[in-house]
Amino acid sequence: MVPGMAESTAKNIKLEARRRAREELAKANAERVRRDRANVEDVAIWTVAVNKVATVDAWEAERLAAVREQVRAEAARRRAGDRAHGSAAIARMQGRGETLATIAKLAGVGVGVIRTWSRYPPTTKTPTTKDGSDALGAEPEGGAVSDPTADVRGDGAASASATATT
Amino acid sequence: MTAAWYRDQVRIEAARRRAAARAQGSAAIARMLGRGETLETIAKLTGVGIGALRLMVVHTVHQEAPR
Repeated sequence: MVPGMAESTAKNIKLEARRRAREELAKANAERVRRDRANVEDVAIWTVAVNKVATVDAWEAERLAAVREQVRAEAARRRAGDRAHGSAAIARMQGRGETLATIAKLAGVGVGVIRTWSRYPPTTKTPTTKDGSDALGAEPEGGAVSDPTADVRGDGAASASATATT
Repeated sequence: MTAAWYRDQVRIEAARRRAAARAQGSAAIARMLGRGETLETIAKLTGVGIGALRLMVVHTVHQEAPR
């Protein structure tokens, strides 16, 4: 073999090796960039999911508080109704000339209790055995029904489809 | 419908939403694992402890198992 030819071959091998190394490095870099981009996207998705869980916790607490508040309001309304009926009964007895002491004796309670009840604002409505509904949120007089889980059905479908896609 | 019914509905819906969000988060972690990332790397990327991540993945796997 001619010495100059051997030198040229070695040079070509070196160039080819460099080219191949550069190509492999570029490929590896591109792959790394692709993976990093995908990871950034998935970290964002994960962060949103974690925040969603926290949001649901807050939503649940808020809704449960709304239910509790409705129960309290309904209980207060019912208590006021019952007190009004009791007060009206006392007023009727007083109207017939009975004293608070006599009414207390008849009812078998202290005069103080009758006096307290007589101070509640009376109602003109005749008392019934079953007045009002047991249903929470059912307010037929107002027409509007307040439902603490009203938005449950609203965005439920969206959440369901989100689950299906994962 | 009673207050207890509403309370149960709220809790059921909250559990459903939480499960959906956890499934999304878990799927994102699973994809990263599929790309060859380790839980350690993912923990660094997300900025949370490796234990919390593992718990999230395990939790979702357990939830989805009966399906």
